[in-house]
Amino acid sequence: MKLDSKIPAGPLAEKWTNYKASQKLVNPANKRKLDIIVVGTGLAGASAAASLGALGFNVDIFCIQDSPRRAHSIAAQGGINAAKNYQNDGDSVERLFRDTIKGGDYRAREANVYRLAEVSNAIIDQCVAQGVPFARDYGGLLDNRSFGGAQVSRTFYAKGQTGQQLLLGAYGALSREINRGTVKLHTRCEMMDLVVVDGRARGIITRDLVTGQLQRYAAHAVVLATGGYGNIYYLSTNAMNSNGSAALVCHRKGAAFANPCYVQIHPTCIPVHGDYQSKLTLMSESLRNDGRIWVPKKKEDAEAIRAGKLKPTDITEEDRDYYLERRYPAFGNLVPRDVASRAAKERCDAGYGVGTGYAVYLDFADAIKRLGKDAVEQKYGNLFQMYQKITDENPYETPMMIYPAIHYTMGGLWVDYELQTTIPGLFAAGEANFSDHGANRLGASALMQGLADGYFVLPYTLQNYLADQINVGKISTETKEFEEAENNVKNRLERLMNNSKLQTANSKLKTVDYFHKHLGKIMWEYCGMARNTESLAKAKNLVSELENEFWKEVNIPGSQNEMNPELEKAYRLEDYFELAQLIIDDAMHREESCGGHFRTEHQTEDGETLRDDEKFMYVAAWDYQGHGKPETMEKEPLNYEYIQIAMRNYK
Amino acid sequence: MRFTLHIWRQENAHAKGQFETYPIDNISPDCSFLEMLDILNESLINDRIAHPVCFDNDCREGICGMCGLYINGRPHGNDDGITTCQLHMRKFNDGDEIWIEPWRAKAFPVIRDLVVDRSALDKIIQAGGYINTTTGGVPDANAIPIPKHVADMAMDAAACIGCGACVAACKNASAMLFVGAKVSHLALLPQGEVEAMDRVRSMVEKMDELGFGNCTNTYACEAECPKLIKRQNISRLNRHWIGSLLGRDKK
Amino acid sequence: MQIIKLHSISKKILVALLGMFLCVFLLFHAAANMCILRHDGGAWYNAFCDFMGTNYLVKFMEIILLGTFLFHIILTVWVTIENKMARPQGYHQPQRSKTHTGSKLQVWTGILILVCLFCHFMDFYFVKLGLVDGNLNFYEQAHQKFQITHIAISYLVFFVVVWFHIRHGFAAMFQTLGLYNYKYGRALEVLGKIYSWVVCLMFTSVVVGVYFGF
Repeated sequence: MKLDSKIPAGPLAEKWTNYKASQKLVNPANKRKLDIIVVGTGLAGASAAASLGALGFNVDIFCIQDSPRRAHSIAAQGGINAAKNYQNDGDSVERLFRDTIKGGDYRAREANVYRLAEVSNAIIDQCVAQGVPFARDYGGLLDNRSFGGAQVSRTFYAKGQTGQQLLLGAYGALSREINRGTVKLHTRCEMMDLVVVDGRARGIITRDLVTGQLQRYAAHAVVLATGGYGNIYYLSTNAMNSNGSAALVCHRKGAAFANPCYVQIHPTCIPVHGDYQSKLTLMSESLRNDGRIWVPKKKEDAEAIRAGKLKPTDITEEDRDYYLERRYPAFGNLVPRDVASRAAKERCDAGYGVGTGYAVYLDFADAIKRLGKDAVEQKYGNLFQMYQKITDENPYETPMMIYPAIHYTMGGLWVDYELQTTIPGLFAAGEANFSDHGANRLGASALMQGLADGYFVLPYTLQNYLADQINVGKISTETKEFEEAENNVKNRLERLMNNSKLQTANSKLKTVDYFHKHLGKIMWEYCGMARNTESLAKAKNLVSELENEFWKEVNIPGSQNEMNPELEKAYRLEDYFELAQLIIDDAMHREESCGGHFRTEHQTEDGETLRDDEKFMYVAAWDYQGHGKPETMEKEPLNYEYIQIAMRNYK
Repeated sequence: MRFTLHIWRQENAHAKGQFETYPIDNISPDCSFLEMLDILNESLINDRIAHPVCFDNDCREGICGMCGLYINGRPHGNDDGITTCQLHMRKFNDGDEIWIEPWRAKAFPVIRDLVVDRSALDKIIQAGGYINTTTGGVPDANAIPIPKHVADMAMDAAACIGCGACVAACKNASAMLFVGAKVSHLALLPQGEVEAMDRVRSMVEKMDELGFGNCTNTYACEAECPKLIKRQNISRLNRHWIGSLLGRDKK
Repeated sequence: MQIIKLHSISKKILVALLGMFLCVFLLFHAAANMCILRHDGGAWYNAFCDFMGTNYLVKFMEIILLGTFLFHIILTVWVTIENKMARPQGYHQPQRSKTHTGSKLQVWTGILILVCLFCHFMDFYFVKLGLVDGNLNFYEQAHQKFQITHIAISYLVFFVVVWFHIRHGFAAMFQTLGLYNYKYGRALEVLGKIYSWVVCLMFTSVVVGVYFGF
């Protein structure tokens, strides 16, 4: 495997312009002859399919849900960044670029991030033209708010449902293309394997989730926009059906997987409250603007609260520890996500946690006193209501309880500047790739990246790839490669189903969820917010043991030829076992702390991340070597030509 | 808490379905409704009683629109402004009988158990529920100012999550609130106003074609909408329809 | 069902427009009835009836009115059948959504009105047309009929049914015609309430007045 990031020559600000000026294009008559498969209908997938369809390509788009509008991009609350500088507060493409690189703890590729910042403005224009009802001020112009990691107001938002509105915009554009016949939609259809013919991605094998039927689809190029793998932790802010399987099957077929250990943990989620829990709900980062985070100063108070003998309102002001304000006086409650998350964990581990012991308070009493209840309700009413629905507690009267939870994965399939993976013809967009966020993503940047990839990058770079494919002709699905791939999938499903049938005499059988929950616990405990050599080694063993146990004791009811959610969960979990090993290996090898990856051996005296730029200033791209075999790692060095590397400091 | 569940079971689209009764015990009041069904499924699998109950769900935070169960006579259960995944067991009394049915409508055929096919809603959108733009070549985002209250109204209409509760709640299985919300969202904005008349025609024609019922102004849709979308949007749809009949200066 | 192509909303709009015409008629009818309460031996009322019976424009409007009734009924039945077809398999549990009961009853109150209307025509309209025997002096006819207890009570029931029908129908009419909005939607609802009460009280007052011999 050879990594070639294909960064265009020239000064940073001109790279993308130069690329577009010199790239190869496909003429309109030839576009009709070319087929493209897009997997996933989130922001990246829907926007890519819509744009490519509008250009005239034949696009097939796939999603596992019943409608393209269900993709988990829809759940993004806060907003989308763009360097519009509508507020005249000193924003620029350059500044957005620098903020993103710094936020990513200097582990992202400069050229990609610059391009992201460069196209960010066009995204806002595009969305407004599609009818996205962004918030406006009284003059009728667009409103902005600020988010963590930036000193300017550059976040555009639509109430607390920005992701939803952006996705519906892209879904509208996609629907238009479906109506025009350029895009074919396949719902409840899961990608099971990638078909590689003569070293190029040429199609996919899918499973119809209603009938269980396997199908073959061929194309000249495949775009993967299947999101992240955060659900490997079981409890996360991801949707139940979000999974990493499509990316992983591509990885098995030769696509390098980059920086798998970079996962983002969001500090403000509603804490875990029981074993039956299936999902963690995010409370928007914007709450930290007015809420103050604290735990009791005295251990006995914390114990009394946990035992239900004391209420948070009983703790006097001097007995409260506003630990973020104490540790980071300059940024206070608004430190970046990774910092806030670690600080909460530190307090809870030290025995000061409230609730179940794994929660801290987010208190609005001060804000209510200062601004009045009405003003607070205006700003956060819907979030407070959501909190109350879930917890049955009134956040106006008693502080909210929050705890960090897995939210986003910065790692993903390795891609070059063109978003092409190491398999020619296979492209990855959005959260599925690794490219733009380094080791930590800033708030409101995920929506920006997904749409940038889909609307403004892939329509160009795909053409550059497809330009020499115009004479290939229709790709047949009746080839041995397709046959083989389909058989592999069939065997894999049969193995799972038969395995379960063989175990019928076994009375200790457990459901897939049981194993998934355990995997999640192992990963969270030993490869979560803080990692070290011992914990990672332990995790590795535990995951292997669990995988063995899985094959011995899992019970999958039904058959593969029907709607069978348990089977879906089972093969996704099977992939997670492999991915878990990769995450652990990556975390183990990266002997430094950066962004979301915190190695306890590598921290400053006051518990901050300690990077090792000498040794680890690179992207770790892992190459699959077969099941159970350690993967090999290739380094893509990060050469910062324009950015001055510094220590992240929020004190 | 302890409940008796009566759940609609139907093996596939062609099979005849029936209600099955499952008792369930030891449910925490903080448990969400879907988590309660997870627990039921776990026991159905472990004790090999039956195939686990199939039900659609995804984000479990009330925004994706995937979940939708008709619980004791109300879509999304006995609370206002929530989706099924946001319903918690504390809303029930200990010992309650709970009847769980799939959305019922000709346009929403049952696929399995509680899972229905809602692609009809996608088809309505595909018929014209968008603004005709291609990527690129659009004016600056601030080129057209939009009064704040108009943008806010458009946002309220755009909050629809496409769950189909309006159809499920309507005694006529009408999709007027869904269509009205989309028509309103786009027609309120200057960007969408251009095609407003054509849009309302094609969307309503598609809606009729797909076998949804007629609106008889019962407003069960408004009462059950998890995003509290107002019936004013249906009125606006009617208004635009009249406009398209009378005012469309085209063949 | 698609012999004539009419889109769902178009059907509703027609129903609403026809309903609106009927509302106007009803007000007119109620106002005329109030004449019965005059102690003039039926001079005003009979003069009015005479005018209605002989004027050609009125005769023309009569046909329009009958057509309106018929069309209103046909369309609503059509819509109701379509609506039943939109949900071939119903729910096991009764609906518990918080909704206006008016619309659910609308078809049934409509059918009841139709039945009552037939009886009412037996007393008055058909007499005029000569289809049934009866007193052609409607002032006297009204006095005879309304003093019989069970007939008076039946009429009062009739008015309650009409009240139900209008209460929903009037507001729904504006909704269907697209006039219900954030600005004056509430006002229209209030107007609907006032209208339904006023019309029904006018009718009721005549029956009650005659019964008690005011």
